[in-house]
Amino acid sequence: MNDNYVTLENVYYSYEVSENDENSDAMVGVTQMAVENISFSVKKGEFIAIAGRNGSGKSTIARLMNALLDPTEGVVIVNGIDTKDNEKIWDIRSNVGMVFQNPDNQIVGMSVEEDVAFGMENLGIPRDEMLTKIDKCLKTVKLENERKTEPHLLSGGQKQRVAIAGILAMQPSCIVLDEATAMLDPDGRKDVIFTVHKLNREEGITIILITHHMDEIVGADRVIIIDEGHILCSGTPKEIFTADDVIKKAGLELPQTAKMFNLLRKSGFDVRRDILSADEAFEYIKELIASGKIQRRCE
Amino acid sequence: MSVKIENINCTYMPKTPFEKTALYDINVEIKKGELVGIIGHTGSGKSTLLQHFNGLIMPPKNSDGKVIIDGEVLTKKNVREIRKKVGYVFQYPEYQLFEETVYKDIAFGLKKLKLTEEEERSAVLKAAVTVGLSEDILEKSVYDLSGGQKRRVAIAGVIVMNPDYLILDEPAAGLDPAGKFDILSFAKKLREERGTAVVIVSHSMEDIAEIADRIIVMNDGRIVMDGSPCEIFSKKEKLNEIGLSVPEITDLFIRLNAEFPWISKEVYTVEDSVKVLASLLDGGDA
Repeated sequence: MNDNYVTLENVYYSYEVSENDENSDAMVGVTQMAVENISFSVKKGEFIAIAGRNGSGKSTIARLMNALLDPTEGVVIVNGIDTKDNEKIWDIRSNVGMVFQNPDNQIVGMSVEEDVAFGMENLGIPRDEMLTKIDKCLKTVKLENERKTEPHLLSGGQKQRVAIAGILAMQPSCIVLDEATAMLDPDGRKDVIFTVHKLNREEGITIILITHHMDEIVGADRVIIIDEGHILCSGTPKEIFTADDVIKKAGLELPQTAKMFNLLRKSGFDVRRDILSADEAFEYIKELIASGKIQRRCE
Repeated sequence: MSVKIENINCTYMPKTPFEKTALYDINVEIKKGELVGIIGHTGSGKSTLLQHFNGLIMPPKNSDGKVIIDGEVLTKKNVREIRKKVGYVFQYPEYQLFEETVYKDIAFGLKKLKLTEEEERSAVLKAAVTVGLSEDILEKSVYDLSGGQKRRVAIAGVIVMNPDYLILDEPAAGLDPAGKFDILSFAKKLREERGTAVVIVSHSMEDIAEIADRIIVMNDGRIVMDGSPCEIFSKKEKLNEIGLSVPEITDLFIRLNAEFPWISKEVYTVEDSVKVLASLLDGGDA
């Protein structure tokens, strides 16, 4: 056994759409490729970010990982199980939790605790055990004070954390977040990202974070950039941040400070480009001042 | 030529246990040709304020609250006419698409204007081009489009009416950077080409700094600041107090300036920052 948790091998996924035929005006089926020849693997406990624009195929990849979709060609192996194996499909889904984009589409309970209990109820877990688990999971996502709250009164970021708590109650080994922050305000986004890093660090849960916000990939172990169904490049966040041409090609955008260093570099200045955060930028500019590379100039 | 809000208060569900005041004594004027950004924490009253601009919410009866559009006071009688002048794009407008094809959806608002087929076609085409949609998708089903395209179809359906004022409630929410860039550049273009006043609500200080020439800051149902990006974003502490921030790049230069006063802190966009550092760095092409 190797320690890969999820493996995609030469995976293709295509679907049929109907289109007007130009000559006969009849509807004809056209095959549309969503992802083509994708291969990568994710180790147990790893934090992977997958970034790409809308329609790049990143959500398809997410859905292939817990058997919501079967590959048209190629193999997806999750925890040693082929996702095409229909008999073991629930083993996969109870191990790989998914958080989707729209916080309002994935809440089913009338209160926060009911929503968290939903998955456990279906498994017939005894009530006492359920209550302890709800407590623990809500504490992990810092919503222990909202137990009885009606979900529609929560903010978007809180709703996404309720969704995460519901998944945690199932004790998954892996969580896939499919643009789970796209509809949140800056505070909500920060809370969700903080929560998944904590789960990865403290509970060893494998995280696959799908996003188009480049500032969210900063803490990942590895980043995969997807465009038009292909892997454009992959590497550490530092490597990705220096590849600003690829980022642009993929329809993505670096955070402001990284953009600034990349632009300075383009104008011929000898500056580093692998600056991930404003804090790093601050320290780096201080270094440049100390070494005399940046100095006060007379007009 | 302006939209003027005078002494507006707004209370949801008054005289019930759920009574909640969303706006307190608002006075503001948006002039034609302005590009205004509205920022504020979730729940600060931004959307409630916007809905007053075209009479989606009317000023309360028996109050001195008024909405005046191009000199005309908004009433129940003229609200239909006023809505032709003030176009409103809701959050996630793509959920409101319903027609069979892109063309029909954009043209829907025109149906009551009794235009000839040619007039209608040219208006739809113009709106589609303005938001950056190509002609060949007009006959497609709206469900075959990407999220960014759907959003643009929904916006085209509003600007096809050629409004003088355009209100956009978080137009870039949920879009990828390329989609966001398209929407923001079209807002700029609309202002330049047609002189339309554009009001944009956004949570992204970076985007607002990039495009607005005036920023209105809301907190707890009140307008707490109103000024140029430079006036607003130079007050970092005040913004932090009400749960807002300055753009990432502005924050960096404020911190640098505190230690090295000769580094300018008047940096609000990436372009500004490159100019400042380029003038201080050794080497370079320039």
